[in-house]
Amino acid sequence: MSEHNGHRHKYNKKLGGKSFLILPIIFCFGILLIMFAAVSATLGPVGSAAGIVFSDAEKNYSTEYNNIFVPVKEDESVDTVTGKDGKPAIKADTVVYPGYGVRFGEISIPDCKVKCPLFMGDDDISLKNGAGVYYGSFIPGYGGTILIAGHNNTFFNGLKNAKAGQEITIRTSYGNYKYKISKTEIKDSLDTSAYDLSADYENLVLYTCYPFDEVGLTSKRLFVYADLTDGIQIEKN
Amino acid sequence: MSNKSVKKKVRNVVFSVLSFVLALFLFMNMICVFTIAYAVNENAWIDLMNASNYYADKTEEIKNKLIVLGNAGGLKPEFFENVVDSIQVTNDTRAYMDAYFHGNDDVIDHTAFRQNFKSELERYIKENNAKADDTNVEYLVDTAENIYSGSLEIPLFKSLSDYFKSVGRIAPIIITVLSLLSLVIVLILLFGNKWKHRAFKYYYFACAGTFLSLFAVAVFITVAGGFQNIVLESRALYNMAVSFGTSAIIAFWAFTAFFLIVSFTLYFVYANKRKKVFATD
Repeated sequence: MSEHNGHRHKYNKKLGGKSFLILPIIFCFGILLIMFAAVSATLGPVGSAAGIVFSDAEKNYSTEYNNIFVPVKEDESVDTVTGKDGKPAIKADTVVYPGYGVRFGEISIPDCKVKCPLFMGDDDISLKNGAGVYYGSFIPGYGGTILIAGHNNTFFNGLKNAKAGQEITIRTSYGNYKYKISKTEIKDSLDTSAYDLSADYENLVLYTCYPFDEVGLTSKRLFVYADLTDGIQIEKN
Repeated sequence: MSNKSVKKKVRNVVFSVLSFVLALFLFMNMICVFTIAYAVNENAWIDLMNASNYYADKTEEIKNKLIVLGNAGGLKPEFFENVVDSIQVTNDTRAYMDAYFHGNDDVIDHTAFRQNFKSELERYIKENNAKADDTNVEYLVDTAENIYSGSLEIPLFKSLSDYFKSVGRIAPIIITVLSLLSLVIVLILLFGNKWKHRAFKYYYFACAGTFLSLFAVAVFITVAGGFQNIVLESRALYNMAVSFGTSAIIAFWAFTAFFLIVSFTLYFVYANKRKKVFATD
């Protein structure tokens, strides 16, 4: 028998016991409860901020683009129905509408040596790889204004030779469209009167920076206006 | 119940409560240490930037943006090879972060970039005998400069830096105070128990409680983590954020593992000391 400071040690036969497991678990719950109470006021704002900062899927940083362009041959026919005006129209449900940043066609102006892929949207990836349709305008065949941008030092460099009467061809997966240049004008980049996005007839407006072959950024733009001469319209429901 | 038995029960409850408080302090201390070591530590940010290849990725990103600008501004992609380099990006990023962490203005110093861009542009115009209008060239230089400084900026860093500074100031004080209070509790437990092995039992309770709490948080941040889904425009920054998330989770698990080991050690010390007491009993 040992004595410690005059006391005899009274011992349990069993080492440990339930308290060795239960007490740490109770402590854990207690700590988490206290911490939750301490930060609960900030959980709402933090949760909202997290909702903005995080999305459901991983962001795609690829500089590759989707391509839905399958050329329609000149002699190939597309499914048509009779439109409201009695003219044939492409069945609306056969047209795949391009999403933002998707290549859906090709634009060419043989007289200007312009031939490049056509994208929906005019972001960096689109303009690096071709010309882009302004997302607030229309696609060919829809009967509205098609506003297309391109860089003057790359794909739209040939627009410096654009003249009235020249032909522009836009090929898409649902049909081919031909336009004739009516005029060219140099305007300010902020001049919204340079185009009419509410027009109820199909017209094509190409634009690029001006002047050409010069180093520097400019606020001037060359606008090329063209009218539809050939191409089946898309059925409107 | 005898007076001695009641006294013993009260003492057990008091020591258990003290060990709970010790567990709470240890947990809070670990959270503070983690925050100081990761979130508000400039060196940790810089290490992460190096580890995630941030500077090289950022240089490439700026170069690509400038190439697009060059498409509109009449410059060939080759021009930008000498305009921006990773050393310059590294220096400017570090100066920018240094300024924030030390409470200075959020100035990104792009003087060197502007000078370099301008002199390279002048040489390019001369060598290619290109047409150039002074106003348009100046507009191009200004735009390039904006792209450069805009690319170096870290989103929300300006707003967050105030919190970083506050936390950076307060956290060491909290750690010191909590450490001192923890030490006091440790001493109370040590000298409050005549049989020293019992003190180790309470230390074990505290450390095991801290371990379980850290474990719960570690599991939560691992499951809910989702750093891969963070929405950032810059890929370089995205890589850094994902790298930060991963290393933070690993660090948290390391803290958790540390407390698991300490808990086991304390348990064995307790068992060993108890056995010795009984052996001599």
